[in-house]
Formats: sequence, structure tokens, C-alpha cells
Amino acid sequence: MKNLAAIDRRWIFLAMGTLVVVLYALKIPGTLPVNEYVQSYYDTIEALPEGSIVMLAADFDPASAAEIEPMYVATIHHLLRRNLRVINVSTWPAAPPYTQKYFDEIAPQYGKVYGVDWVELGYTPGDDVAMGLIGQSLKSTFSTDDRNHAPLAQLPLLAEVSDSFRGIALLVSSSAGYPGILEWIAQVGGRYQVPILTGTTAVQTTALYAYYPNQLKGFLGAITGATQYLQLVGRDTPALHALLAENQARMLVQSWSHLLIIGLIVLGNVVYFLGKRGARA
Amino acid sequence: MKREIPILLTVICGLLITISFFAPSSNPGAVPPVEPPVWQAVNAELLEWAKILFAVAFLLGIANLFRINLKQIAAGHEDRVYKAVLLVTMSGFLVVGLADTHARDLPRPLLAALVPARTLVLSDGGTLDGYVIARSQTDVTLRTGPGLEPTVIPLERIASETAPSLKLWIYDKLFIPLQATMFSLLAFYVASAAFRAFRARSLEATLLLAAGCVVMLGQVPIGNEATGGLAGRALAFLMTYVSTAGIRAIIIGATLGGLATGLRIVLGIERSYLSE
Repeated sequence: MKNLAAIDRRWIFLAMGTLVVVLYALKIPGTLPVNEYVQSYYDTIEALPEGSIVMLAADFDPASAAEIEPMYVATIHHLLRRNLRVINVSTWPAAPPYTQKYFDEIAPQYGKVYGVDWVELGYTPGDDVAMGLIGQSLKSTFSTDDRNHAPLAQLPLLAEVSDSFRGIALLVSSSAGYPGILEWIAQVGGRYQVPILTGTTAVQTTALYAYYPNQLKGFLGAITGATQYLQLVGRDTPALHALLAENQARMLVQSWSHLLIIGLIVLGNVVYFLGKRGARA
Repeated sequence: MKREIPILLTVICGLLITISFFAPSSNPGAVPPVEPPVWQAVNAELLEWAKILFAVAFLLGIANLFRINLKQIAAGHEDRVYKAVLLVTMSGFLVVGLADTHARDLPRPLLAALVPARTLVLSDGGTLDGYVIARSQTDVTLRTGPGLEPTVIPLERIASETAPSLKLWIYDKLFIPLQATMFSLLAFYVASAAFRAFRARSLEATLLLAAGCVVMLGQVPIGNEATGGLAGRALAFLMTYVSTAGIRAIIIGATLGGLATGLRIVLGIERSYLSE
């Protein structure tokens, strides 16, 4: 038992690494029941009239892409498939290349035209101050767009948006921390009465239950939430079938990783209590 | 005066921002509410100043990073190689990023050296390499040829366009894999910590452990299937009632604390931001 208590942590690293690699290679899909928060996220987008303008905030960077990217991609598909128009902004400097990459891939599949169906305004510094400014006046926050560095007046989509969030029907934040969804709720949600949805990393998700269903109309919690959402959006979006299968395969990896961690907690406690009893004896 | 002026500025700015939140709407029925133009203008102006200060802080941060690291490199610090890599990488990416953003204003030699040219595939099958400096609804103005002279190409002559970017190449090939690697290490450290640190030493710790295990089981398909859905229901109960009640209490408490601190700052009572 003493040997087990003093086990080299590299054995634990090896166990976790082997588990992840082997199970990921197997690609066995696992499905999940859809919870009400994910269903509400989906339903809120479905309920918007065609042509409505949605602000999509990319508040993440590559470190959290494994959790955020699937839900971000699925949301872009969902919005464009429903013929909703999208304004992209970001309060994280490393996020705009993701936006550009995915819109380059996805927009042509739905025949969307840049400037008419979607615009990319890019990053603005200032964290929650910048969010307040975006709410107050989008056009004074950004002088040009991010894709072509063209004046905003050249983008027909923005002609329908004015100060105080007028013209924008929904805000969706893909949020990995600060600044993110909690700041959008504080700076924009209540003040301009705009409905908000979010997809977040696992560590942020716990805090979101407190805001549902008033300040938040729905949310996706990490890979689990993204997989449930993909199950819903993927039904009518063939382009998402590969991503859905990929995410469902990730659920198997996550399942067994969780079980390994629970097993390690139990084993650690058994070793601890047996060691304590031995010391007493 | 060194003390009074900053306090006065803080009080004025704090009050103006606060008033703009509570100013009556000029059109009470409007959804979303329309703010009175004067308060909207004052609020927007102050937020714009804050945003500029934020951007200046970036520059100060870079300058400070250079100052500290150069000093340590000169002093022969044991990590001087890593510090040099940091400064070279940061400067390199800064130059590439600035060149990418301001390509249309760059002089010819810098443009050719720092920004990869776009390729326009023409409808007659030919190609044209160059830098787009303007677009309209009918044509694209391209700096092309050996002298990079501006040439106007009608849109109907362009079949497709490829835009290689050195900035995006660095982002895709270096930045994304490095950040993803750092974050994925978390799984290994969590596993190690689970074995070494999560001990049921007290009633509170035992409750925390049990709740953690239930949440981990309820989040994943196997946990749900193995318990006949019980783990999922327990997860929903814990998150919806127990956790949310606690979080709401913390949020409300922290917000009231923030409000009190904000009020103290606006009224000039709290002066710790002046290093007092």
C-alpha cells in the first residue's frame, strides 16, 4: 500500500494518455439525451423570423477551441441555414481568424454573400468597456470591417443596425472566460433587452444556471452541450454529420476519462484511509 | 493637487456613467429603450476614452516586457535564451500582423517582403498576383506587376481569389497547436490531482467529493447508462437547485459588494486606486 501511495505520477499520465489515444482511435459514438438548456438554445434560434440579424461574439482563443469550436461551427451552420444574418465581433484578440476560417468554409454552402448576409467586424480592445460601447453604438466602436478593412458604410447589412442595439434580434456569445458571457449579460442584455444565448467551457457552465431562463435564453455546456446541440442541428444539416460523429466519438473518450478520474479518487482515498489505519496500529 | 484632480476626475466620470444608466428614456415605449442623445453621447465618449486607454495599456505592456527581459538578458539570467525567444517571436508577429492589417498603405519593398501576394484567377484562365488596395461593387484595384502599379480589374473578369496570409499561417501552424497543447495538459494534471489531493478528510470534503463524482457521471453517456439515468437526474437536481442557489447567493453578495465599493470610489471615500 505504501508503494501505491508513492506511485510515480507519470504512471497516471500514461494511463490517461493511453485511454484517450486508444478510445479516440476507436471512434465509437455515444449519444446523449438533450437537456432543456440546449433545447432552449436551439428553439430560440429556430423561433427567429428569417432575415433577422444576430450578433455572434467569438470570445475565445485556440486554448479552448476543443470545447468551443464544435458549438461555434454548429451555430454558424444553424444561423445561415435558417437565413439569419450575422454580425461577427470579438473581445478576444486571437478569435477573429477562426471566424474568417469558418465563414470561408460554411457561407458558400448556403450561397451567402459577404456584407449582405454576414460581416466580420473583428476584435476590439476594452473587454467589458468595449461590450458597453458595442451596445451603445456599434458603428462608432468599429471604423472598418476586419475582412477587407472597408468602411462600415460599404456593408449593406449594417445599414439596418443603429445605436442601442436596435436592429439586432439576438446575441450569441461563444465564451471561454473573461471577457465573455457574464459581461455581455451585464453590459448589453438587461440594458437593451436583447435575448442572449451562449456556449461555454465546462468551468464556466456552473455559473450559467443562475441566469437561465431570464438573462439567458439557453446555453451549451462544453463538449456535452455541443454534442446535444449537434444532435439537434445535425438532423437537418448534412454538412454537420461528420462533426456530429466526431463529437459523439469524443463523448466516449470523455466518458472513460471521467470514470478513470472517479476511479483514481476512490483509489486515492482507499490508500489514504488504509495508510492512516496502519499508522494508528 | 496631485491627489484632488484624480479624485475629481473619478467622481465626475463615475457620476456621468451612472446617470446615463438611469436617465429616463426619451421614448418610454420603445423596445429596446432609446436613450436621450446627450447621455448617450457622454457615455459613448467616456467609453471611447476607456477603450483608448486600454489600447495604450497594451503598448505600455509591450514596452515593459521589453524593458524587463532585455535587462535580464543583459544580466545573464539563466533563462536568457527563452527570454530572447519571447522578444524575437513577439516582435516578429507584431511586424507581420501590422503589415497584414496595413498592407494597402505599405511602401513597395516592405509590402513585397512581409505580405504574400493574393492570386486572382481570371475567367479566361490566366492568373494575376498582387495586393488588393480597394474594392467596389464593380471592380477590384490591385497593385500588381514588377512595379506594383495600381490596376483596376472588373469583377466579371475574376473567377476566384486566393489570399495566403503569413499572419494566418503562423496562427494556424504555431499558435493553435501550442495553445491546444498547453490546455490539454490539464487532463493529466487533473488525473494526478484526483489521486493525490481529493481526500474525504471531513464531512464537507466528502460531500464535495460525492457531488463531484455524481456530476462527472451524469455528464457522460456511460455514467447515465450504467446508472439507468439516475446520475443524469442527480446531476440536474444538483445543478438546478443546490449549485444555482449557492451561485445566486454569491453573485448577489458580490454585486452588492461591488456596488458599495463603486459608490465609495465615486464619492471619493475609497482611494486605494491612488496607492493611498
